[in-house]
Amino acid sequence: MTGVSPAEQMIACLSREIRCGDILGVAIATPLVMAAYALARLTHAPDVLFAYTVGGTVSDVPSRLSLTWQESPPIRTALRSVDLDQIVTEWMLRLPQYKNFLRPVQIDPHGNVNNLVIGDYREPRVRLPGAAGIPDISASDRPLYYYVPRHSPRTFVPKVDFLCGLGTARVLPGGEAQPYERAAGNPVRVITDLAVLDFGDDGRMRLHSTHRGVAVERVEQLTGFPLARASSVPETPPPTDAELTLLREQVDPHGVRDLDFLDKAARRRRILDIAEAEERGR
Amino acid sequence: MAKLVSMSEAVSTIAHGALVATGGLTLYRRPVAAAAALARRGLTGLRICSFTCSFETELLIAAGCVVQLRTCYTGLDFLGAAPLARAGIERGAVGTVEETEISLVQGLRAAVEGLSFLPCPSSTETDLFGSRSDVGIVDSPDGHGSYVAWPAIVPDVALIHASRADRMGNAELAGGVYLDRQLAQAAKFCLVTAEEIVPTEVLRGSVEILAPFVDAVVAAPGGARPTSCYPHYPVDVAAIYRFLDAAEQGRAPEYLAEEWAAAG
Repeated sequence: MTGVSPAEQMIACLSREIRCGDILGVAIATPLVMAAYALARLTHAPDVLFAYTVGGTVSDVPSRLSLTWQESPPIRTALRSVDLDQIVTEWMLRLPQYKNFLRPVQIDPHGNVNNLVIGDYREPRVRLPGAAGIPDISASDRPLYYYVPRHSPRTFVPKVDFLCGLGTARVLPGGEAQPYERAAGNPVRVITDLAVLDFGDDGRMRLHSTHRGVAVERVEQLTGFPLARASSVPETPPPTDAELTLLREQVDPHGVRDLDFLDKAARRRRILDIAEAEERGR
Repeated sequence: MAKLVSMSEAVSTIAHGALVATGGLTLYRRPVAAAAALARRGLTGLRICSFTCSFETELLIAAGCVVQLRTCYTGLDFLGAAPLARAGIERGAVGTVEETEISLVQGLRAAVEGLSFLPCPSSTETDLFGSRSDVGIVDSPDGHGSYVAWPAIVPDVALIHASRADRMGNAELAGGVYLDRQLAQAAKFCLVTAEEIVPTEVLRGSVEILAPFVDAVVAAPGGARPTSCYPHYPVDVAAIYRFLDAAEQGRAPEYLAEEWAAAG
């Protein structure tokens, strides 16, 4: 099948991190992640559960990607409802099968992340939406899976402006690493529109594979710090024809997956189109 | 005293400077009509506490009511950033108390149980933790390590929109409960607005918030619009964009005045 989009390649990569038995946390406004969960459920991981933040339920049924009636499928197929406090304090840190994928605004070579401010905290250049549960999960030994829809030096920075989530070690102003006194974070994957990154034994980010048609040099140019890598970097396995068909026809017929790649005006047009299509489809 | 009252009666005792907790989640079942009633009263100095500060917070900021946000997420879900909150914080007009999912939950649970704090194995090494001067460390009495002591969060008011409620205040949320049970129980005063007031027997098996935790009940059909209220109506994306356009052009107060005039 031709014309694999960056969204589809990322969804395939995210999907391959899902295992049978997982309980998958569906966060707010994360269509790529929901698509990956659904795809995994329909292919290699039939025995998974979904913990839906929107709708507040646990279900065994993956939701088709949607914007305006997001609560509806989780509520109609609920095994039970769940309060947020239970997910956060009882499952997120304590249940080994609980998995979710987080989106950093800034991430440094040791996997420290910032989702709160760009610039100085007291006089921020940009105030961001916030870190939600990242500080909590990163203070435990739970593996952290990150995804970045637009690989750029604005996201991959030598040092984060404000430390929200712990990586493998603190990065000092000069760039050297210093171990954390208590728990360190446990980042294991960063999946972007260009590449898959992981972390070496030294706790530094490495280039694991590049997606089809992406040169290693391009990834290096768009990363704000040097990436460790093997002399020959493998190609990320692209989505299969079967995966693409499921994705386009069953999981996301309206194309919600592309929203994270559009600029503001195009995103708005697409959102209004999808909302209208959903209204007609009811 | 009867709990079933008009909206203006329900909000009449809320004071300037109150810590106001808002129920629901991002664009789902938010207490928009109740927030608008606070704004119409001209309350100032309000501090908003929520798992997610979203449309209801934008509306209160547009009306000039808000001085502080206490949350772990400020934004409009798939519609992106919350422009008024963002601008207010960047300008220094709106302050923040930086929470995480766990610090909010532990703070509310502490309040529900009448404790001054609840412990959690959080990190003390993030800048987020460093921004909080009100958080301490407690040693485990068995000598096995220490915990961060997240202080109780006691809202002066909780605003919760329900699908249905009875005149006593038993409330059916009909879908996502989010943190609304905890908000209702932690707050000193809990206002429930509902799409419909129904006889108690209609609610058997579906009540999420019990009457003793509710102080006022108001019939407010459409009271979550333009956010959703399952199963009554979905998110009204076009209406939220109209608000955002007005906000972007600096016309948010005029927009609110027009909406209120239209609502009578």
